[in-house]
Amino acid sequence: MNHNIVIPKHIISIDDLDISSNVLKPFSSILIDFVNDVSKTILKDNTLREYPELMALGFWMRKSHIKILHKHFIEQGKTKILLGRGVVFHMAPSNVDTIFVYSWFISLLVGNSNILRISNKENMQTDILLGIIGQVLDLEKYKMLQSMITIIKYGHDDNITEKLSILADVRVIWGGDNTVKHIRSIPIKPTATELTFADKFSFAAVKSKKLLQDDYIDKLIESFYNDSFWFGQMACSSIRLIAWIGTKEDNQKAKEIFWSRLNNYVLDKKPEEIAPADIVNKLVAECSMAIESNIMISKIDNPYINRISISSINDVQEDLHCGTGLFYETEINKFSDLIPFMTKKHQTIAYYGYTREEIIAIIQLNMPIGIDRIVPIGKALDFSNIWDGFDLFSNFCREIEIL
Amino acid sequence: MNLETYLQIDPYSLTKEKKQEFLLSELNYLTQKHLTKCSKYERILKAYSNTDHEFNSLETFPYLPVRLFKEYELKSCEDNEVIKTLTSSGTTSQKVSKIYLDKETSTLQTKALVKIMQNYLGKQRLPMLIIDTKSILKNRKMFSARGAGILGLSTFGRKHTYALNEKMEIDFEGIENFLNEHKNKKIFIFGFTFMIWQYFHEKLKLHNKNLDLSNAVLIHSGGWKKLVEKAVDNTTFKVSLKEQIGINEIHDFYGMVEQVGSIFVECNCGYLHAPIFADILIRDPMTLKPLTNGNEGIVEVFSILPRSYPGHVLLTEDIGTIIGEDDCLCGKKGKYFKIKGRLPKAELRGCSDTHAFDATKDRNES
Repeated sequence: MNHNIVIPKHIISIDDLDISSNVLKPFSSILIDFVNDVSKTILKDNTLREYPELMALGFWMRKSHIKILHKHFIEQGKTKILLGRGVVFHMAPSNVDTIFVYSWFISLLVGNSNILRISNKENMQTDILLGIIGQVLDLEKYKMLQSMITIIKYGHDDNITEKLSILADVRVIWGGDNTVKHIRSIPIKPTATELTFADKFSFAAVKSKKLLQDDYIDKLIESFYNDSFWFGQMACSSIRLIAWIGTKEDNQKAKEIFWSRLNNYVLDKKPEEIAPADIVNKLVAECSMAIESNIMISKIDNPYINRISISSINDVQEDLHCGTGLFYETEINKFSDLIPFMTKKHQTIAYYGYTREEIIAIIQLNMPIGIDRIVPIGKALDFSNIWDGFDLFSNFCREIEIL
Repeated sequence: MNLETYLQIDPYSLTKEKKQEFLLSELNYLTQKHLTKCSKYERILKAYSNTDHEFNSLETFPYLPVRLFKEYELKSCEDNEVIKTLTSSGTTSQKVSKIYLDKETSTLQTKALVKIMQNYLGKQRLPMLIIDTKSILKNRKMFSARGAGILGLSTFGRKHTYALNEKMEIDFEGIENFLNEHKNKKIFIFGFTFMIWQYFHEKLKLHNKNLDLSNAVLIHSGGWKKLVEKAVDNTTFKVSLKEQIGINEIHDFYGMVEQVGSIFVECNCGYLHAPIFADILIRDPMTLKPLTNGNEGIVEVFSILPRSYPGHVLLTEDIGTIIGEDDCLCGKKGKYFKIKGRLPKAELRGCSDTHAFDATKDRNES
C-alpha cells in the first residue's frame, strides 16, 4: 500500500493512526482560532498573491466571515441540540479544484474529526495549503486538534479507502460519476452516511439588453473572468456556457461587446495555468463536439478563449468539456427557456441583468427538476454552507432529540 | 505526374517547388475525398467553416489532432473494403488509435516505405538481425505496435534472426552463428530504441561482451521518452553503440501508426528528413500559428498515403524544430528537422510543468 501521511507527520503507516471520534463543541473558540490562523498565514504571505483561488480561500476563512457562518449555524439550530457526527472522511477530487477544502473546514468547524484523502498528483496550491495547515497545527495551543486532522496522499487504492471508510461516520466523495460509483461499492459503517458531489455543469445567463445599457461593464468582465478561468474552468461551478437572452439583434450586439472586452482582459491576464497541452485538449474537445452535435466554432485570435456556438441548448455535450477557456454559447428569448436545461447534472447558473425576485418568481412557477444555485455573475465560486443542494451544517451534524 | 510515377522517384530528390506542386494537389484531392466519404470529418470541417475546395499552402489545410483517432473510428471507405486495422501501442488502461486500411492505402504504404528504405539499405534484401524476441509475434496482446513494426520492416531483410530469447536474454549462440554465416557482408539490424538500449547494449555491457557489427546498418524507432529518463540522448546512443559493437551507420526514424509508410528517417547529419510523400510544419504551441524554420513548436505532419481514413493532415503532440529545407549537408532534399519530445501532460501544472518541458529541451540540445 503506497501512501504518504502528510498530517500527522510522525505517523508512517495508516495502521498506526489514532483518530479521535470525540467531537468538539461546534464553533468552539479553538476551532475558530485555528481556521483564522491558517487564514492569516495565507493572507500575510505575499508570494501567494499569484494564486487567486488560495487567496479567496484565505478570505473566506477570516474570523469575521467565520462569525457570520456561526450566526447562521445558531439561527438554524436555535431550539435544537446539534453536535458533530464524529469522523468525516473526505475523498478529494484529483483535478485542480480546491473547492473540497471549504467543506472540509465546515466539517472541522462543527467539531468533527476529519480524514482527508488527496491524490498523488502534484498540485501547487494544495501542497502550499497543506504545508500551512501543518505549520499552524504544530503550534502548542492546537495540540488538542492534532488527533482531529489527518491528511493522506494516495492513488487509487481500494484497500486504503476501505480501511479509512470503516472509520468514518460520514463519507464525502468528490469526483466524476465513475469515481462516485466505484467508491460507493466500498462499504461504510451501517450507521454512517454519505455525501456525494458528482460532476456537474454550470453556466451563465446574460440579459443582453441590460449589458447594452450598462456603460461600465468592467466589473462584469472581471467577475466573469474569475467565475470561469479560476480553477482552470474545471470546478463544478465554473461557467462553461453562456446563454444570451434577448432579441436576435440585442444578443448579437451584446456578444460583440462582451467578447471583445473579455478578449482584451484575458490577453492582459494571460492565465498561466493554460499550457500548450490544454490548447491541444481544446482542439480535441472541439472536434469531438463537432462529431457529436451541431456546433459552429468561432475563429478567435486568442489561445485562452475558444467559442462554440450552438443553436439549441440541447446540443451541449457536458462530458466533452475540458475546461481552460472553452465556452459554449447559445441564444434564447427569455430566462424561463432555460428551465428544461436545469437538470440534476446542472449546478450553478450565474446571472446578469436580473433581480433576485424575478428569478425566484420564475423558479417557483416552473419548478425545474435540477439546479442547485442561482447566483449573480461573480459569485459562482463563492462557497456557502449550502452546496449542491446539501446543507453541510445539517449533514455534518447529528441532532439529539430531547423531550 | 501521376501518383504511380511519383512513387518511382527517389524520395529525397525533389526540391521545394516541384515537391509542393504535387503534394498540394494530392492533399487537396484527399481533403475532398475524405469530406465526401467520412461524415465525421465533414462535420468537423463544417463546424470550423473550413470546407474550401482548394488550399494553396500547407499551413491552410484543416488538420485533425492525432488523438482523435483514439476517440473515434474515422474511416473513408466501406467496412468491407477494410483489409487491415492498425492499432497504436498503449497499456490496457489507455485508449488506442484504430487505423483502417483499404487495399490501396496499404499498397501505397508498402511502396513508399520500400522507396525510403532503399536509400539506407540498398535494393538487395540484407541478412537481418532483429533486436527483439520472436515471441513478440505470437503474443496477440503485445502484438500491435512492436510486432507490426517488426513485420513491416522484415520485408527488407532475409534470414531473419532474433537477438533475444523469450526471456528477453541475449541469444549469444544464435547471434554468433548469424555473424559467421554473413561474415564481411552488409547486414541490417532493426529494433525499438528502448529495447536496443536496455536489452542489448546494457546487457552486453553487463556480460562484458563485444560484438563486431561494423558492417551493419541499424534502423531504430519508438521514441526517446524512456531513454530521456535514463539521461540517454541520440548522441550518447550512437557513441555507445559504436564503441561497443563498432557500428557506424545508425538511423533513428520518426513515424506514427496514423501515417504508416511515409516515415521520417534520420540522415548522416543527424536530422530527420521528410520524403516526397510527406511533409512537416511547426506550429506555435499556444496560438497554433505556423512558425518559421528554426523555431520550436508543435509538429504537424502531412502524408499523401492515407486514402481510407482522414489522416493526411495531423497535428501531433510532439515538439520539434525544422532546421531547413533542401540544403542539408547530407545531400537529401526536403525539410529536415529534430524532434524534442512530447508535449508535457496537461495534468502537471504550475512549476512541475515547466520543469518537465525544460528537461526534455536540455537533453536534446546537448
